[in-house]
Amino acid sequence: MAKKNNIVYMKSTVSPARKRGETAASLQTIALTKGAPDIWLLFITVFLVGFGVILVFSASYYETISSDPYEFFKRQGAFAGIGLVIMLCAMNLDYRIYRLFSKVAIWSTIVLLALVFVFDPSKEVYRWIPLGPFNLQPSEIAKFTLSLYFADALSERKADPNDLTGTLGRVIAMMGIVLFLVYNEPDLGATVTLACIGIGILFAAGLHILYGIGALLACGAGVAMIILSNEYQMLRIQGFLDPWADPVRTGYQVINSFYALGSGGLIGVGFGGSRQKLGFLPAQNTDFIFSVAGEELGFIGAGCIVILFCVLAWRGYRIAIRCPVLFGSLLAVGITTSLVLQAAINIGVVTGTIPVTGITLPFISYGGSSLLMSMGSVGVLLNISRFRRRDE
Amino acid sequence: MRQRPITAQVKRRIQFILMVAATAYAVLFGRLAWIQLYKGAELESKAFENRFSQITVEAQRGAIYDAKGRPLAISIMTDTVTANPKEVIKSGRADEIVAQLAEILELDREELAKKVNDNAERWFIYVKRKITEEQAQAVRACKLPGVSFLEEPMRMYPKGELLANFLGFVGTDNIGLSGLEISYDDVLSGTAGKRMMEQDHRGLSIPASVQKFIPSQDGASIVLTIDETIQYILEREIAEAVERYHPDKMGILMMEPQTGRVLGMAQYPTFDPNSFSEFSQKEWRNFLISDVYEPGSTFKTVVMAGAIEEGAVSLDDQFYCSGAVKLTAGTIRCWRGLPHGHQSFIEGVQNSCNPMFVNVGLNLGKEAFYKYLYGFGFGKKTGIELAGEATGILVPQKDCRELDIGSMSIGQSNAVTPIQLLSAFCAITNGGTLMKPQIVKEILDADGRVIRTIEPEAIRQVISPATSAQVLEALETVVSAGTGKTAFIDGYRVGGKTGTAQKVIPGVGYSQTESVVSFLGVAPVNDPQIVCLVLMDNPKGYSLTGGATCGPIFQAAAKDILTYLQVPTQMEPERLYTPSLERITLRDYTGISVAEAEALAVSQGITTTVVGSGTQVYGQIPSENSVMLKGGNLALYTELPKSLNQGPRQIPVPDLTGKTAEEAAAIAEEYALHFEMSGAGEVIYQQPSPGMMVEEGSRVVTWLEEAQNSIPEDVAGP
Repeated sequence: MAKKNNIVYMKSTVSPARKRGETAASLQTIALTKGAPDIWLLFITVFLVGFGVILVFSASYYETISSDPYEFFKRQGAFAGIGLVIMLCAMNLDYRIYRLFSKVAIWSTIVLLALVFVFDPSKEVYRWIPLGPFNLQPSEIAKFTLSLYFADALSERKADPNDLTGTLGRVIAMMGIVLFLVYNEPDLGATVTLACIGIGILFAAGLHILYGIGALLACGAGVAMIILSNEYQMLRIQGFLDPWADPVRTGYQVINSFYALGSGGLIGVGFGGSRQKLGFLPAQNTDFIFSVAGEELGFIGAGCIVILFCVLAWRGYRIAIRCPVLFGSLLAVGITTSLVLQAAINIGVVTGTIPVTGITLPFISYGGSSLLMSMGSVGVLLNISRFRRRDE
Repeated sequence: MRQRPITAQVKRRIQFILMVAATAYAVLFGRLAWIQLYKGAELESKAFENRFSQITVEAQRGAIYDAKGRPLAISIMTDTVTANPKEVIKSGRADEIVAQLAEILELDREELAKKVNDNAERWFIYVKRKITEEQAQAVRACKLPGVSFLEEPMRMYPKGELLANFLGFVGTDNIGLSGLEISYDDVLSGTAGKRMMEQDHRGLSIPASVQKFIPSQDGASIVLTIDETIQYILEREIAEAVERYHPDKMGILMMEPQTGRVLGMAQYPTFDPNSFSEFSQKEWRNFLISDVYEPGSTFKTVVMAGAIEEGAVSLDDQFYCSGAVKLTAGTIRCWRGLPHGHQSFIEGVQNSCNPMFVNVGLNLGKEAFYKYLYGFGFGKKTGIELAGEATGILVPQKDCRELDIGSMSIGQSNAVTPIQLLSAFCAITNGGTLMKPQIVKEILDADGRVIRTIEPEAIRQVISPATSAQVLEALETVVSAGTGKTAFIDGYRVGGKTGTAQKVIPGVGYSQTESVVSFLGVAPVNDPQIVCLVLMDNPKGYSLTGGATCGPIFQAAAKDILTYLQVPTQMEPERLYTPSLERITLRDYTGISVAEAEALAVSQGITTTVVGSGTQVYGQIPSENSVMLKGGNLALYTELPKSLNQGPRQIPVPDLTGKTAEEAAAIAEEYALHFEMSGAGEVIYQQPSPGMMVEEGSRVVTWLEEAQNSIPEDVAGP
């Protein structure tokens, strides 16, 4: 029914406009011009990734000092290199192409999420699929594919974000499958992130405010039930409410993070000078890498990271707002929410603002799947940022 | 591609999301500022404390040297094996590691495995502390993962049991637990140092971290007044005597009377401080300072000194011993059971005559008696710098009645510690000054320089030098002519006093069978260099008087020690009491016939008393190699109890009929029988009859021709 837009885009060239009649008000061929990507976003991403690679080295070298102090640095550097290529490719690939694959992508992701249970657990959790030297983490892929699926489904011709028997029911069911699998890995952090991505996109797409409140309440109730029924999560809550009550067990992680941040003060102890990374901080090159940054670079460095993520949020949502196409806008919301939410939760955890949940800091924490998917997502976001309505 | 365009509502919604995100980040930014800027300093110092570890560097404990600088206790560094259970388990070879350690270190394998597993979450456990060099080498050679070493100081006593009860010992944590090690712990232990440094989570030092080192201050060393050689001689004598008499306890205490310095302090039972935990508390105890006993006749020296000083008696005063002295509350009997008759004071001292001393004590009077008790330091700690000194028990002055004074005069009723008695004896023999018993002569710093010299400490003048001289004169005659003949040393003028005290059994009263025998000696009398107390608690055997048992021990020890101390030998013949000056070293008379032995003895100018009805000599008193004066009496035994090692022993009752009271008493004493008699003259009847087997210490009641009143019970021996 819709005629394919086969205009050849050239840089700074203007494509011919094809205005459609008002009869197809909800579905139109939108004439777009292609411009430069969002430089702010590109710059922030590259900066954070580069900073992350160096910080991973600082945070990790002591742990592997007897084998290869550069082990994590080299791997993270390699991922950053590949991630950069992926990001640049994605930046130049018309994002609308992804609509064609949204269903395939989400179903493939579900298969991968199911596949993690086939392999031997690492530290009693099923989170990875070993691929030779690289462990694939499907939940990282899910953050993008779920965004894609939601954006696609909610921007279909007759999509109604408030129709429980139609679009809404469909996306919620799909999200349910994904959340069920991720939650059972178990990976509460990723579950929360994915849920928020879905709700965020739905909200942007026009979910009725009562549904929104209902969803939030349902989420809250779900999280509360999970916590109350799970001794491990209860201990995390106790550790959050009063870390000093049991400083060697429940409060251990937060207290050592406080020690690191506090030791950093305003200007930090100097790059590479963190003491808390010497076995005191848990997961010092992944979940608690922000604490190392805070100790070494002080409030100036750590505050900058917070500001940069805040700017990233601004640019990401700005892209979403400025995108003339609903699909691109919703996809941008999903991607931005994913990155911004993870960063907020991670920083919230290490500053003791929220209970401990195992979430990494995008771009900075060590982790191949996360880095590649985050950078690829930003590539897509950058591509979205390139398109403007022609008449603007 | 046809697309749905973005609507104004979607834009508003996204703007809202952005605002939520921005708010969240603002909160996080504030929170971060609060932690890093407001709480920063506090958290930083907490973090520092958390990483900062203090390692105590133990100080090397000072050594203990004898008077000539020979080491008696030293500290050496030894290896302690530690393990990191986490690493041991992680290595995957835990079973193998445990097995190897258990074998080399002689530990229980299952116990060690349990210890490792129980501490699986910890970084540090002790496997075995203070192991031998060989063990350490063997463990090192195995190169076991998770196993490492610590250096810890260990106390060594190179001479083993020598002086053990005096020295005490040190616990694993290098703190003195008993004896000198505890009383001088402050001096010996030094000050532990500290190594403070930042550590990583595993306890490894951090590169370029903050470090502070306060070096340990090694302990000072101690030079004792005790001489290892003297101590060795004393312990040699104890070993021999224990073999022979099997006493419950035995001790020899030797001091230098002029200074109050302790020269030797030996005792049985004892222990090896290198493995003190294998011994009992009883064996650790230094009873020479910690236990009290009723000294018996040796205490008469104290009574004598007081009485002479007060003028209550002089050496030439005449006394009459009727065998007992009747007091208002009871009667005190003479030890021998038969009267000494007329005697001068000095003869009474030689005979250790109880009635005479009771009279002397009564003459002295209660006030004066206590004046000298307190004056010589009884009822109060001597102040010897050893842990656990007892104060002794005196009859309270206000409760003291006539009978108590009588009893106290012969060394019963009051309980004293051996160190109290010998300290008093120092004062008696050194011209009258009570000295504080001194055990430490010098304190040396870690480099061996003298940092403190400890001078002898006089407490008070108790008696005059003239009195002291008179007492010495009397005591010399005890050895030359009285109950202390066995202590005679060729070439030295020896004074002394014997003691045989009935032992007080708590809650029962005086024991009929157990006694504490002792000898208090001084040599040479013309210039006292050593005073010595030999005592034995509950010896077993026959003829168990202080003179017969402890005299020879004193003689053997003092002879070697006087030679070692290079005290000039000298004799002043005119000063000796007995005209016959020729001395005979006794040979072994056993294994030959009685006739032969008698002939031999006569040819040597000594008289004999044959005990028993056999024809072969099985035993003799004094023993072989003893020195005795010509004209002395040698007892030859033709019958002996089958075993001297198991008491109470069965012995045959000797035939006393026809003997005089004196002879009968002597024979009974040699058989260790309790002699009782009625009448005077010759024995006409005895009960039990001769040849009956009775337990040692049983009573032999005899009736003599002219029967008189019965005999009281209270008794104190020579």
